[in-house]
Amino acid sequence: MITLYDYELSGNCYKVRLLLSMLGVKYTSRLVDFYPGREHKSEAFLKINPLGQLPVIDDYGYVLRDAQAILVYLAAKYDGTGKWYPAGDAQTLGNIAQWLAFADGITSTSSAARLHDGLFYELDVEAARAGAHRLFRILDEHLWFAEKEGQDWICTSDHPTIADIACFPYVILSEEGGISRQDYPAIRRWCDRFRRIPGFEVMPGVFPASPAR
Amino acid sequence: MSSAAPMSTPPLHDHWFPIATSDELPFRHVYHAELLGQELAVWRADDGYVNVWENRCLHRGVRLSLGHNLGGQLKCQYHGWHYASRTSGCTYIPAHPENAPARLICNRTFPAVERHGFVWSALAGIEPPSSLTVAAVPEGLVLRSIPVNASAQAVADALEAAADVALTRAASFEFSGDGLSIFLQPVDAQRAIIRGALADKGGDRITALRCHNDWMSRLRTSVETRRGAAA
Repeated sequence: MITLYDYELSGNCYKVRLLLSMLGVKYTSRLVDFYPGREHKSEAFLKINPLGQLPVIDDYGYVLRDAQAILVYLAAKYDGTGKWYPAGDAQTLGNIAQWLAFADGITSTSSAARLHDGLFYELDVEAARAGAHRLFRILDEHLWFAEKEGQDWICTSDHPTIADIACFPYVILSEEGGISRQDYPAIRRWCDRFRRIPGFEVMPGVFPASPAR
Repeated sequence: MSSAAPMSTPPLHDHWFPIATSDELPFRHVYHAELLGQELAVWRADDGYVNVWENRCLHRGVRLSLGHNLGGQLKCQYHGWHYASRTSGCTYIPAHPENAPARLICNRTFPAVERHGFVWSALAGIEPPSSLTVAAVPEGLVLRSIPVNASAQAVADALEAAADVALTRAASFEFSGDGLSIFLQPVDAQRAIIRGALADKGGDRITALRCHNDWMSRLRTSVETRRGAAA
Protein backbone atom coordinates (compact mmCIF):
# COMPACT_ATOMS: atom_id res chain seq x y z
CA MET A 1 0.00 0.00 0.00
CA ILE A 2 1.17 3.53 -0.82
CA THR A 3 1.38 5.97 2.06
CA LEU A 4 1.19 9.65 1.14
CA TYR A 5 2.57 12.14 3.65
CA ASP A 6 -0.19 14.62 3.01
CA TYR A 7 -1.53 18.06 3.91
CA GLU A 8 -4.98 18.97 2.68
CA LEU A 9 -4.20 22.58 1.72
CA SER A 10 -0.97 21.73 -0.12
CA GLY A 11 -1.15 22.06 -3.90
CA ASN A 12 1.93 19.84 -4.20
CA CYS A 13 0.22 17.06 -2.22
CA TYR A 14 -2.88 17.67 -4.38
CA LYS A 15 -0.82 16.80 -7.49
CA VAL A 16 -0.19 13.33 -6.06
CA ARG A 17 -3.79 12.87 -4.93
CA LEU A 18 -4.98 13.85 -8.41
CA LEU A 19 -2.81 11.32 -10.23
CA LEU A 20 -3.63 8.51 -7.80
CA SER A 21 -7.34 9.28 -8.18
CA MET A 22 -7.15 9.49 -11.97
CA LEU A 23 -5.25 6.19 -12.06
CA GLY A 24 -7.64 4.61 -9.56
CA VAL A 25 -4.78 3.59 -7.24
CA LYS A 26 -5.63 3.15 -3.56
CA TYR A 27 -3.43 4.81 -0.94
CA THR A 28 -3.52 5.97 2.66
CA SER A 29 -2.95 9.56 3.70
CA ARG A 30 -0.68 10.15 6.66
CA LEU A 31 -1.69 13.71 7.60
CA VAL A 32 1.18 16.04 8.48
CA ASP A 33 0.38 19.17 10.51
CA PHE A 34 2.04 21.63 8.12
CA TYR A 35 0.28 24.68 9.59
CA PRO A 36 0.36 25.75 12.32
CA GLY A 37 2.23 22.75 13.74
CA ARG A 38 5.21 22.85 11.31
CA GLU A 39 5.42 19.09 11.66
CA HIS A 40 7.26 18.93 8.31
CA LYS A 41 10.19 20.63 10.03
CA SER A 42 10.14 18.27 13.03
CA GLU A 43 13.09 15.99 13.76
CA ALA A 44 10.98 12.93 13.04
CA PHE A 45 9.84 14.20 9.63
CA LEU A 46 13.32 15.42 8.63
CA LYS A 47 14.41 11.79 8.88
CA ILE A 48 11.84 11.02 6.16
CA ASN A 49 12.65 14.09 4.05
CA PRO A 50 15.73 16.10 5.06
CA LEU A 51 14.40 19.00 2.96
CA GLY A 52 11.41 19.28 5.29
CA GLN A 53 8.90 19.43 2.44
CA LEU A 54 5.69 17.71 1.44
CA PRO A 55 4.69 15.47 -0.25
CA VAL A 56 6.58 12.24 0.34
CA ILE A 57 5.37 8.78 -0.57
CA ASP A 58 6.29 5.41 0.86
CA ASP A 59 5.46 2.58 -1.53
CA TYR A 60 6.17 -0.66 0.34
CA GLY A 61 9.39 0.82 1.75
CA TYR A 62 10.42 2.80 -1.34
CA VAL A 63 10.48 6.39 -0.08
CA LEU A 64 10.37 9.26 -2.57
CA ARG A 65 10.11 13.02 -2.08
CA ASP A 66 9.27 15.90 -4.50
CA ALA A 67 5.85 16.15 -6.16
CA GLN A 68 7.20 16.05 -9.71
CA ALA A 69 9.44 13.04 -8.98
CA ILE A 70 6.52 11.24 -7.37
CA LEU A 71 4.34 11.86 -10.45
CA VAL A 72 7.06 10.34 -12.67
CA TYR A 73 7.37 7.29 -10.44
CA LEU A 74 3.65 6.66 -9.98
CA ALA A 75 2.83 7.08 -13.67
CA ALA A 76 5.72 4.83 -14.73
CA LYS A 77 4.71 2.17 -12.23
CA TYR A 78 0.92 2.25 -12.08
CA ASP A 79 -0.36 3.61 -15.41
CA GLY A 80 -1.00 0.57 -17.57
CA THR A 81 -1.98 2.73 -20.56
CA GLY A 82 1.41 4.48 -20.69
CA LYS A 83 -0.34 7.73 -21.57
CA TRP A 84 0.41 9.81 -18.50
CA TYR A 85 4.18 9.38 -18.96
CA PRO A 86 4.83 7.83 -22.35
CA ALA A 87 8.12 5.98 -21.89
CA GLY A 88 9.91 5.53 -25.21
CA ASP A 89 8.63 8.79 -26.74
CA ALA A 90 11.82 10.85 -26.42
CA GLN A 91 10.41 14.24 -27.42
CA THR A 92 7.31 13.94 -25.27
CA LEU A 93 9.44 12.89 -22.28
CA GLY A 94 11.71 15.88 -22.92
CA ASN A 95 8.71 18.19 -23.11
CA ILE A 96 7.24 16.70 -19.95
CA ALA A 97 10.50 17.25 -18.04
CA GLN A 98 10.58 20.83 -19.31
CA TRP A 99 7.06 21.53 -18.03
CA LEU A 100 7.68 19.71 -14.72
CA ALA A 101 10.49 22.21 -14.13
CA PHE A 102 8.12 25.01 -15.20
CA ALA A 103 5.63 23.72 -12.60
CA ASP A 104 8.32 24.15 -9.96
CA GLY A 105 8.57 27.77 -11.11
CA ILE A 106 4.80 28.15 -10.61
CA THR A 107 5.29 26.78 -7.09
CA SER A 108 8.03 29.27 -6.24
CA THR A 109 5.88 32.21 -7.43
CA SER A 110 2.13 31.52 -7.32
CA SER A 111 2.31 29.16 -4.34
CA ALA A 112 4.65 31.55 -2.52
CA ALA A 113 2.15 34.40 -2.93
CA ARG A 114 -0.60 32.14 -1.56
CA LEU A 115 1.53 31.16 1.44
CA HIS A 116 2.10 34.87 2.08
CA ASP A 117 -1.58 35.77 1.91
CA GLY A 118 -3.03 32.66 3.55
CA LEU A 119 -0.42 31.37 5.98
CA PHE A 120 1.45 34.59 6.77
CA TYR A 121 4.81 33.68 5.24
CA GLU A 122 7.22 36.59 5.08
CA LEU A 123 8.44 37.09 1.54
CA ASP A 124 8.38 39.64 -1.30
CA VAL A 125 4.80 39.03 -2.42
CA GLU A 126 4.86 41.57 -5.25
CA ALA A 127 7.90 39.84 -6.76
CA ALA A 128 6.16 36.48 -6.38
CA ARG A 129 3.00 37.77 -8.11
CA ALA A 130 4.99 39.37 -10.93
CA GLY A 131 6.88 36.11 -11.41
CA ALA A 132 3.65 34.15 -11.60
CA HIS A 133 2.20 36.54 -14.20
CA ARG A 134 5.36 36.15 -16.29
CA LEU A 135 4.98 32.35 -16.23
CA PHE A 136 1.22 32.50 -16.87
CA ARG A 137 1.79 34.59 -20.00
CA ILE A 138 4.16 31.90 -21.28
CA LEU A 139 1.74 29.09 -20.43
CA ASP A 140 -1.25 30.92 -21.94
CA GLU A 141 0.61 31.53 -25.21
CA HIS A 142 1.72 27.89 -25.31
CA LEU A 143 -1.84 26.63 -24.73
CA TRP A 144 -3.36 29.04 -27.29
CA PHE A 145 -1.10 27.77 -30.05
CA ALA A 146 -1.53 24.19 -28.86
CA GLU A 147 -5.31 24.61 -29.29
CA LYS A 148 -4.79 25.93 -32.82
CA GLU A 149 -2.88 22.72 -33.62
CA GLY A 150 -5.66 20.60 -32.11
CA GLN A 151 -3.68 19.90 -28.94
CA ASP A 152 -5.75 20.05 -25.75
CA TRP A 153 -2.96 19.38 -23.26
CA ILE A 154 0.41 20.92 -22.41
CA CYS A 155 2.53 18.22 -24.09
CA THR A 156 0.11 15.98 -25.97
CA SER A 157 -2.99 15.98 -28.15
CA ASP A 158 -5.27 13.20 -27.07
CA HIS A 159 -4.57 12.51 -23.41
CA PRO A 160 -3.15 14.60 -20.54
CA THR A 161 0.26 13.83 -19.05
CA ILE A 162 1.79 14.37 -15.63
CA ALA A 163 2.91 17.80 -16.90
CA ASP A 164 -0.75 18.93 -16.85
CA ILE A 165 -1.13 17.58 -13.31
CA ALA A 166 2.08 19.29 -12.15
CA CYS A 167 1.01 22.69 -13.51
CA PHE A 168 -2.67 22.64 -12.50
CA PRO A 169 -2.83 23.11 -8.69
CA TYR A 170 -0.93 26.37 -8.28
CA VAL A 171 -2.54 27.78 -11.42
CA ILE A 172 -6.09 27.11 -10.16
CA LEU A 173 -5.20 28.33 -6.62
CA SER A 174 -3.48 31.51 -7.86
CA GLU A 175 -6.26 33.85 -6.79
CA GLU A 176 -5.62 32.85 -3.17
CA GLY A 177 -2.31 34.67 -3.68
CA GLY A 178 -3.89 37.69 -5.38
CA ILE A 179 -3.04 36.55 -8.92
CA SER A 180 -6.01 36.93 -11.28
CA ARG A 181 -6.32 34.67 -14.31
CA GLN A 182 -8.56 37.11 -16.18
CA ASP A 183 -5.79 37.85 -18.70
CA TYR A 184 -5.17 34.17 -19.47
CA PRO A 185 -8.21 32.86 -21.36
CA ALA A 186 -6.38 29.86 -22.83
CA ILE A 187 -5.32 28.85 -19.31
CA ARG A 188 -8.94 29.22 -18.17
CA ARG A 189 -10.15 26.91 -20.98
CA TRP A 190 -7.42 24.36 -20.14
CA CYS A 191 -8.55 24.49 -16.48
CA ASP A 192 -12.09 23.59 -17.64
CA ARG A 193 -10.76 20.65 -19.66
CA PHE A 194 -8.53 19.51 -16.80
CA ARG A 195 -11.42 19.50 -14.33
CA ARG A 196 -13.37 17.23 -16.68
CA ILE A 197 -10.72 14.47 -16.67
CA PRO A 198 -12.27 11.26 -15.28
CA GLY A 199 -11.15 10.78 -11.68
CA PHE A 200 -10.66 14.52 -11.09
CA GLU A 201 -11.22 15.54 -7.51
CA VAL A 202 -11.28 18.92 -5.79
CA MET A 203 -9.43 20.35 -2.79
CA PRO A 204 -10.35 23.41 -0.67
CA GLY A 205 -10.37 26.44 -2.99
CA VAL A 206 -10.82 24.38 -6.17
CA PHE A 207 -14.28 24.12 -7.72
CA PRO A 208 -15.55 21.52 -10.16
CA ALA A 209 -16.29 22.44 -13.79
CA SER A 210 -19.69 22.01 -15.36
CA PRO A 211 -20.11 18.72 -17.17
CA ALA A 212 -19.51 18.85 -20.93
CA ARG A 213 -20.56 16.46 -23.63
CA MET B 1 -31.46 68.49 -9.72
CA SER B 2 -34.54 67.41 -11.59
CA SER B 3 -35.34 63.75 -11.20
CA ALA B 4 -36.69 63.77 -14.74
CA ALA B 5 -33.38 64.82 -16.28
CA PRO B 6 -31.92 61.93 -18.26
CA MET B 7 -28.60 60.71 -16.98
CA SER B 8 -25.88 61.40 -19.48
CA THR B 9 -24.16 58.39 -20.95
CA PRO B 10 -20.65 57.97 -19.52
CA PRO B 11 -17.86 58.35 -22.08
CA LEU B 12 -17.53 55.45 -24.51
CA HIS B 13 -20.53 53.56 -23.10
CA ASP B 14 -22.25 53.98 -26.48
CA HIS B 15 -19.20 52.68 -28.36
CA TRP B 16 -19.19 49.06 -29.56
CA PHE B 17 -16.02 47.19 -28.62
CA PRO B 18 -14.92 43.61 -29.23
CA ILE B 19 -14.98 41.98 -25.76
CA ALA B 20 -14.10 38.39 -26.74
CA THR B 21 -13.24 36.32 -29.77
CA SER B 22 -15.71 33.68 -30.92
CA ASP B 23 -13.06 31.05 -30.08
CA GLU B 24 -13.06 32.22 -26.49
CA LEU B 25 -16.63 30.97 -26.01
CA PRO B 26 -16.29 27.19 -26.44
CA PHE B 27 -18.92 24.70 -25.37
CA ARG B 28 -20.03 25.10 -21.73
CA HIS B 29 -17.40 27.72 -20.88
CA VAL B 30 -17.82 31.08 -19.11
CA TYR B 31 -15.42 33.76 -20.34
CA HIS B 32 -14.29 36.47 -17.92
CA ALA B 33 -14.37 39.80 -19.77
CA GLU B 34 -14.12 43.42 -18.76
CA LEU B 35 -14.95 46.64 -20.58
CA LEU B 36 -14.34 50.16 -19.24
CA GLY B 37 -14.06 48.79 -15.71
CA GLN B 38 -17.29 46.77 -15.97
CA GLU B 39 -16.63 43.07 -15.34
CA LEU B 40 -18.62 40.74 -17.58
CA ALA B 41 -19.47 37.03 -17.60
CA VAL B 42 -19.76 36.03 -21.26
CA TRP B 43 -21.12 32.64 -22.21
CA ARG B 44 -22.56 30.87 -25.22
CA ALA B 45 -25.69 28.79 -24.68
CA ASP B 46 -25.94 25.45 -26.48
CA ASP B 47 -28.27 27.06 -29.05
CA GLY B 48 -25.49 29.52 -29.95
CA TYR B 49 -26.91 32.56 -28.17
CA VAL B 50 -24.17 34.75 -26.63
CA ASN B 51 -24.95 36.19 -23.19
CA VAL B 52 -23.08 39.22 -21.85
CA TRP B 53 -23.95 39.75 -18.20
CA GLU B 54 -22.69 41.71 -15.26
CA ASN B 55 -20.18 39.39 -13.59
CA ARG B 56 -21.99 39.21 -10.29
CA CYS B 57 -24.51 36.86 -8.76
CA LEU B 58 -27.54 38.75 -7.43
CA HIS B 59 -27.51 36.61 -4.29
CA ARG B 60 -24.07 37.09 -2.70
CA GLY B 61 -22.14 38.95 -5.36
CA VAL B 62 -19.84 36.09 -6.35
CA ARG B 63 -18.41 36.31 -9.88
CA LEU B 64 -20.59 34.39 -12.32
CA SER B 65 -17.48 33.67 -14.40
CA LEU B 66 -16.67 31.10 -11.69
CA GLY B 67 -19.99 29.40 -12.33
CA HIS B 68 -21.27 26.57 -14.47
CA ASN B 69 -22.47 27.00 -18.04
CA LEU B 70 -25.25 24.37 -18.12
CA GLY B 71 -26.10 24.93 -21.76
CA GLY B 72 -29.29 26.93 -21.29
CA GLN B 73 -28.68 28.32 -17.83
CA LEU B 74 -25.79 29.68 -15.81
CA LYS B 75 -25.43 28.27 -12.29
CA CYS B 76 -23.57 30.24 -9.64
CA GLN B 77 -20.72 28.31 -8.02
CA TYR B 78 -21.57 29.57 -4.52
CA HIS B 79 -25.18 28.72 -3.67
CA GLY B 80 -26.36 27.38 -6.99
CA TRP B 81 -28.76 30.09 -8.15
CA HIS B 82 -29.69 29.41 -11.78
CA TYR B 83 -30.15 32.15 -14.39
CA ALA B 84 -31.72 31.60 -17.82
CA SER B 85 -29.96 32.33 -21.09
CA ARG B 86 -31.30 35.41 -22.94
CA THR B 87 -33.43 36.89 -20.13
CA SER B 88 -30.92 36.32 -17.29
CA GLY B 89 -33.93 35.75 -15.06
CA CYS B 90 -33.40 33.59 -11.99
CA THR B 91 -35.06 30.21 -12.56
CA TYR B 92 -34.10 28.21 -9.49
CA ILE B 93 -32.90 28.80 -5.94
CA PRO B 94 -31.72 25.55 -4.34
CA ALA B 95 -32.48 26.79 -0.81
CA HIS B 96 -36.15 27.25 -1.83
CA PRO B 97 -36.73 24.33 -4.19
CA GLU B 98 -40.53 24.53 -3.92
CA ASN B 99 -40.82 28.22 -4.77
CA ALA B 100 -40.53 29.81 -8.20
CA PRO B 101 -38.12 32.74 -7.91
CA ALA B 102 -39.66 36.19 -8.19
CA ARG B 103 -39.67 37.47 -11.75
CA LEU B 104 -37.87 40.60 -10.57
CA ILE B 105 -34.71 38.61 -9.91
CA CYS B 106 -32.96 39.34 -13.16
CA ASN B 107 -29.29 40.02 -13.79
CA ARG B 108 -28.00 43.05 -15.68
CA THR B 109 -27.41 42.20 -19.33
CA PHE B 110 -25.54 43.98 -22.10
CA PRO B 111 -26.16 43.73 -25.84
CA ALA B 112 -24.05 41.33 -27.86
CA VAL B 113 -23.35 40.97 -31.56
CA GLU B 114 -21.13 38.23 -32.97
CA ARG B 115 -19.46 39.33 -36.17
CA HIS B 116 -16.08 38.96 -37.92
CA GLY B 117 -14.97 36.32 -35.37
CA PHE B 118 -15.52 38.61 -32.37
CA VAL B 119 -18.23 39.25 -29.82
CA TRP B 120 -18.99 42.97 -29.63
CA SER B 121 -20.77 44.80 -26.86
CA ALA B 122 -21.55 48.31 -25.61
CA LEU B 123 -22.22 49.20 -21.98
CA ALA B 124 -25.17 51.42 -22.87
CA GLY B 125 -28.03 49.09 -23.78
CA ILE B 126 -28.27 50.29 -27.38
CA GLU B 127 -29.01 48.78 -30.75
CA PRO B 128 -25.95 47.83 -32.75
CA PRO B 129 -25.10 49.94 -35.78
CA SER B 130 -25.14 48.28 -39.19
CA SER B 131 -21.36 48.35 -39.24
CA LEU B 132 -19.34 47.92 -36.07
CA THR B 133 -16.09 49.08 -37.59
CA VAL B 134 -14.94 51.85 -39.89
CA ALA B 135 -12.86 49.74 -42.26
CA ALA B 136 -13.78 46.34 -43.68
CA VAL B 137 -12.60 43.50 -41.42
CA PRO B 138 -10.73 40.78 -43.29
CA GLU B 139 -12.48 37.43 -43.05
CA GLY B 140 -9.77 34.95 -42.27
CA LEU B 141 -7.69 34.51 -39.17
CA VAL B 142 -8.52 35.94 -35.76
CA LEU B 143 -5.23 36.73 -34.04
CA ARG B 144 -4.32 35.81 -30.48
CA SER B 145 -5.56 38.66 -28.28
CA ILE B 146 -2.87 40.40 -26.27
CA PRO B 147 -3.78 41.94 -22.88
CA VAL B 148 -1.57 44.89 -21.98
CA ASN B 149 -1.05 46.51 -18.59
CA ALA B 150 -1.42 50.03 -19.98
CA SER B 151 -4.28 52.32 -21.00
CA ALA B 152 -5.87 51.94 -24.43
CA GLN B 153 -4.54 55.42 -25.21
CA ALA B 154 -0.94 54.38 -24.46
CA VAL B 155 -1.36 51.27 -26.61
CA ALA B 156 -2.91 53.32 -29.42
CA ASP B 157 0.06 55.69 -29.36
CA ALA B 158 2.44 52.74 -29.57
CA LEU B 159 0.49 51.20 -32.47
CA GLU B 160 0.70 54.45 -34.42
CA ALA B 161 4.46 54.47 -33.96
CA ALA B 162 4.96 50.71 -34.42
CA ALA B 163 7.98 49.93 -36.56
CA ASP B 164 7.15 46.23 -37.00
CA VAL B 165 3.95 46.76 -38.93
CA ALA B 166 2.48 49.56 -41.05
CA LEU B 167 -0.85 50.58 -39.51
CA THR B 168 -3.19 53.46 -40.20
CA ARG B 169 -5.46 54.77 -37.52
CA ALA B 170 -8.97 54.32 -38.88
CA ALA B 171 -10.83 55.40 -35.72
CA SER B 172 -10.11 56.02 -32.05
CA PHE B 173 -9.77 52.34 -31.23
CA GLU B 174 -9.26 50.88 -34.67
CA PHE B 175 -6.26 50.45 -36.95
CA SER B 176 -5.89 48.91 -40.36
CA GLY B 177 -2.97 47.69 -42.40
CA ASP B 178 -2.25 45.37 -45.27
CA GLY B 179 -4.98 42.73 -44.85
CA LEU B 180 -5.01 43.45 -41.13
CA SER B 181 -7.51 44.99 -38.70
CA ILE B 182 -6.53 45.83 -35.13
CA PHE B 183 -9.03 46.79 -32.40
CA LEU B 184 -8.35 48.08 -28.91
CA GLN B 185 -10.56 47.07 -26.01
CA PRO B 186 -10.26 49.41 -23.01
CA VAL B 187 -10.45 46.96 -20.08
CA ASP B 188 -10.16 49.65 -17.44
CA ALA B 189 -8.17 52.87 -17.05
CA GLN B 190 -4.87 51.00 -16.85
CA ARG B 191 -5.45 47.90 -19.00
CA ALA B 192 -6.31 47.19 -22.61
CA ILE B 193 -6.54 44.23 -24.97
CA ILE B 194 -5.21 44.29 -28.53
CA ARG B 195 -7.42 42.18 -30.78
CA GLY B 196 -6.96 41.61 -34.47
CA ALA B 197 -8.04 39.85 -37.64
CA LEU B 198 -5.95 38.97 -40.66
CA ALA B 199 -6.84 38.10 -44.23
CA ASP B 200 -6.04 34.46 -44.95
CA LYS B 201 -3.61 34.65 -47.84
CA GLY B 202 -3.29 30.90 -48.16
CA GLY B 203 0.10 30.47 -46.49
CA ASP B 204 0.74 28.49 -43.33
CA ARG B 205 -1.81 29.73 -40.80
CA ILE B 206 0.22 28.94 -37.70
CA THR B 207 3.24 30.83 -39.08
CA ALA B 208 1.07 33.87 -39.79
CA LEU B 209 -0.54 33.73 -36.34
CA ARG B 210 2.87 33.40 -34.65
CA CYS B 211 4.29 36.29 -36.65
CA HIS B 212 1.52 38.64 -35.49
CA ASN B 213 1.63 37.28 -31.95
CA ASP B 214 5.33 38.12 -31.89
CA TRP B 215 5.13 41.77 -32.91
CA MET B 216 2.12 42.38 -30.68
CA SER B 217 3.99 40.82 -27.73
CA ARG B 218 7.05 42.98 -28.46
CA LEU B 219 4.82 46.06 -28.58
CA ARG B 220 3.29 45.05 -25.25
CA THR B 221 6.72 44.70 -23.67
CA SER B 222 7.77 48.10 -24.92
CA VAL B 223 4.58 49.84 -23.72
CA GLU B 224 4.73 48.16 -20.31
CA THR B 225 8.44 48.91 -19.90
CA ARG B 226 7.87 52.56 -20.72
CA ARG B 227 4.96 52.67 -18.30
CA GLY B 228 7.06 51.01 -15.58
CA ALA B 229 9.87 53.52 -16.15
CA ALA B 230 7.42 56.42 -15.91
CA ALA B 231 5.85 55.15 -12.69
